[in-house]
Parts: sequence; structure tokens; C-alpha cells
Amino acid sequence: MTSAKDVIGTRGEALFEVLMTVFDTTTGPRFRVRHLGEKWPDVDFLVELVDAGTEKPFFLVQVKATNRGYTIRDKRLKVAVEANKVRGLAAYPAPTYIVGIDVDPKAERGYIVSANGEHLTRVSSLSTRMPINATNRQLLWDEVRGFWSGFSKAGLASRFIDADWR
Amino acid sequence: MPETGGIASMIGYRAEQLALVLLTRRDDLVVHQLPTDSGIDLLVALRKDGKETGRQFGVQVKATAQPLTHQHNGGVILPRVSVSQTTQQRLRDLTIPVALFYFAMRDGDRAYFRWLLEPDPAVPAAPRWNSNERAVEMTSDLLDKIVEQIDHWYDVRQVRLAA
Repeated sequence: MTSAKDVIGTRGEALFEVLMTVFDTTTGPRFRVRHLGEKWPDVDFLVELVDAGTEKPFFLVQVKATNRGYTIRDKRLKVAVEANKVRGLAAYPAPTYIVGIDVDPKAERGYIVSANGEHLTRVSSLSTRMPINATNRQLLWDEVRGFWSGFSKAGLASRFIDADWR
Repeated sequence: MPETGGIASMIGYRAEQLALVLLTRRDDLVVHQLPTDSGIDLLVALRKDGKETGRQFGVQVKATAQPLTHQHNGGVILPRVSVSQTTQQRLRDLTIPVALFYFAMRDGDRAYFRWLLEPDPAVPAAPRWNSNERAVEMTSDLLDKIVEQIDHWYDVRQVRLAA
């Protein structure tokens, strides 16, 4: 039997994928989204940047969906994220974000909040200042690409090199 | 027109997510994504009073990344959406209604609908094949009518089978 919570979660994840992969450019979406499955702790999606050159920058996302709407005073989305989940997400050495999804059929909106260690406590509602739209998808793409542009694998001296690779 | 390269599979997957979002606007529909290529991408179960009824319909999902053709007045020419002979043969063996959803990703993800296997109360034994390829724009009202039509067909079918 499918519970109401399952339905909201499934709908929220589908909405996240749809919102992130809108055809913003002439070649298609800015992002490629991969669901990591229910059993992956702390992270729901790995999101890869499209058309970022020879490298494939990525970021990690935890999605929280709700049909409970917004707080009256600050219009924050009523989703809670526990402290251990916030810390678990921020522990990855890659850009990490929490996305709140309003699954109400009249809304169907998503909001991005950084989870890169700025806050490590429980949050009972999420900011709606950065909705997932064309402008913010571009900002996010730039932010993540900027993060990885300073990254190099040159410092990795692997013990698993195939000396006879040809 | 066929889509090119790796984007084709991405478009197909995205279209399924769009269909899932569209269908789950109604809280009486439970959507199951089917992993195999059976001609149906989504199996949708109807619920009543929070419980599954056993009534189901299939959805085949298609999409285009090409802009739709617009008329001079700005309106869109309703797309014709065909399915392959192989798919037709597979679907014709089914005894549940099957709808086709078509998404135009360069036109704001606009959705279109046509029946593949239409539930006709006059033919309760099995839904009838619809050869009219012209799709119509999907709206919330139309989704309500589709579900109503399916539910009514199952009602008629149940009475006939019991007789």
C-alpha cells in the first residue's frame, strides 16, 4: 500500500528532476540528474553540469518535499531537516544543497538552500529566497563550476596504476 | 524527427517524470514506473477513499525537443503522435485502457494527450484501438475527464461481467 508520505516523496523527487532539467539552453538542460536511490544516506541526487568543458563538475542534493505550504510570517517552506542529515550532507567534499519542493499542484515549486557547512543544526523550515528558475539554475551552474575549476587530480598519486595500459 | 545522441534517453526519462508530476496532481492516482519495454511506461492505479480499487490504466510517454509548429495566430498546431507497429501489436493484446502523453520540451513542457486503447462503455470487454493520431492539449479538466471515463468504463464492465 502506498502511503501519503510515499506519494509526496515520489512527487517531490519527480518535480525536482523536472525543475532542474528544463531546456534552458539551445542544446538542452544545464544539468543531468541522477537519483541515488532510497538506501543512500543523506544524499538523494547527484547532479552533473552539462556543457562544462572537458570536466564533469557535480553537486549533491537532498530533497525534502511537502504539501504543508509556507510559514505565515516569512513565507518559508514548511519542511524540516534533522541535524544529522544536515551534517551528513555537508560532510561531502563537494558542493551540497538542500532543495525544498512544494508539491501542491497549484505551486509545484522548488527552492535551493546551500548546505555547505554554513549551518549544522536542525532546520524546521527552508528559505524560499532562491527558487529553482532559469536565473538561479544559471547561478547554480556557475557556482558549482567555479568550485571545481580550482580542483585538480594532479595531486593524486594512485597505487592502482596499470603500468601496461595501452 | 528522431532525437540525437545521448539526449534522447534523457528526454525519455524526463518525459516520464513530467507525466508522473502531471498524474499525481490527483491524489487518487498511484503511478508505477515500468522497467521493461512493454509499450507502457507508467501503470496508473485508481484509488477510492485512500484504497486501491484494482482499476488500472497504462500510459505511454513520448516527447520532443523540437519546437512545435505554430500557426500565424500564435496557437500551436496540435501534434500527430504515432506509435510503431511493434508497439501497436503489443498494446492490442492488453485489456486495460492506455493513454499516450506527449511533452513538448521546447514549448514550456506543454503536454498533449490521445488515446491508444480507449475505454468505450459500448465495448466493455476490452478497450478499443484508437487510430486517430491527433493529440489534444492536456489540462487538469481533461485529466479529470480521462479518469472519469476510465472509472465509468470499469463500472460498466463490472456490471456486464456479473450479468
